[in-house]
Amino acid sequence: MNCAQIVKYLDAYVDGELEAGRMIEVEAHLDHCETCGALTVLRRRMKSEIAALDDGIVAPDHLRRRVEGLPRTGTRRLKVAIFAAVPIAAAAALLLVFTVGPWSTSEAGGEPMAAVVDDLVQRHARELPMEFKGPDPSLAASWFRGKVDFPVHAPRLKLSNASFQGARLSSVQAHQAAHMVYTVDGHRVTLMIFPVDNLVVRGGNEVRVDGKNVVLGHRNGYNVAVMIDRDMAYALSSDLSPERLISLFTELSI
Amino acid sequence: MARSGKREKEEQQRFESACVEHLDALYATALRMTRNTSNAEELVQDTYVRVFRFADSFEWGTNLKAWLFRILTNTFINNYRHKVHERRYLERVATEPIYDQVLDSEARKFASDPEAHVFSSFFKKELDRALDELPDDYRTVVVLSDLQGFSYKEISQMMECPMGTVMSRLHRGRRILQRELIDHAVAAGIVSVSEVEQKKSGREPTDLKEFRRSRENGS
Repeated sequence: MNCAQIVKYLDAYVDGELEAGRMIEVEAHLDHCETCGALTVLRRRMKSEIAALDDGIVAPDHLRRRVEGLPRTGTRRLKVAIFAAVPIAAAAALLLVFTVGPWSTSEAGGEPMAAVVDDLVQRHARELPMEFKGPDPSLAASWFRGKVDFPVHAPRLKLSNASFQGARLSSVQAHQAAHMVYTVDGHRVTLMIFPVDNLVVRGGNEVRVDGKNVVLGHRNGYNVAVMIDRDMAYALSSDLSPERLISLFTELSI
Repeated sequence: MARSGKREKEEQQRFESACVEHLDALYATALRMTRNTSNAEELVQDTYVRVFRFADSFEWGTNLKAWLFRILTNTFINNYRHKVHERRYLERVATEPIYDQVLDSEARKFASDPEAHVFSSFFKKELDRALDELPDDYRTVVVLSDLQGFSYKEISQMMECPMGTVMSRLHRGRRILQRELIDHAVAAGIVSVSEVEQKKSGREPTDLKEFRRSRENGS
């Protein structure tokens, strides 16, 4: 590594965010390069000086009183109680394995599942206009080609009472997503396809369907089921019951 | 039923007091974001209104501080930041492709100078001012990373942008700060002008302040 390359990695190095392999390369260079060593000391010093800038800043008392006196509009229910209320037993017949995951979803410091569910429900609830209109989902798949940087298979639901409404480009947590809308039994169902990348789509209520993980969540009266398959997430959002969403996954030939 | 009601109440109280414990950190960050005490107070209050409203979406076991800062950052980005100022500054930085190399050599020179390692209180003031003058997106990333110690991943979730964007904003933001410090060191006579000017030879300063300073020094 030369001096110009070191500069690219210096921030991550100083922040302790550099992966081990790169760190060894950077340190090998710093061992024999005095000026880069000095630059690193400067960056470290600057970081610690910035860190100390706001020492001793306290919120004013009147703000504290205002915050403490704010109306509590939301309710903080017990998470365990919420999940226990999801009627899942009916779907158990479809499942090969059934597990309930931990409530904590922040393993490896990843995206909490709640944030992903928020996005999915928001996209579903808004009834956004479609850029590509049905009824043929296979044409939608080719419409996505070149527009997104991941594979999109628009599944044809094998049900007689299901139809494909349309597709559009969308996003989940700043990740591009293929957004498709179906109607099943007269209920609107949104299918979002997006790469998992650094999103954490696990925790909460997890079930196994055909050997794949499906994570369940719910928000504002909508249910969400996310299936992970080869680093891609397939998320269904609807006002249909969670077990109906799970059963839909068996209808989607992904 | 009554028992679960009592448990819910305890749960709510536990959650609320845990949230209020982070008030000082949220306020300090809001102050950095808005650069104005009354806006900062308003931003913090708006944040807590949303915190209590969306209390249900927080899950124990996940990082409460990161969750609170995410709401703060979101509220700031959506309601407070000044877009016009930002665009102008970003354009200026983007039009200086050669600036990186020159800054690197300047910074190395500056860093190699033993005097420069002494961050006097004078310097601190300068750093404080330079941080406040950064464009909103850069400043927010620097504050979340260096003042609050969040990881790149946590910041990318707070700002709803890819990690690569967090890293480039942090890199750019710190470079601007570094440059301001060097300019300041030159102005204060800590690093001699001729040394830095030598490094800059063959280049017209693209920064107006720097341009004027070099003109003054030249005359």
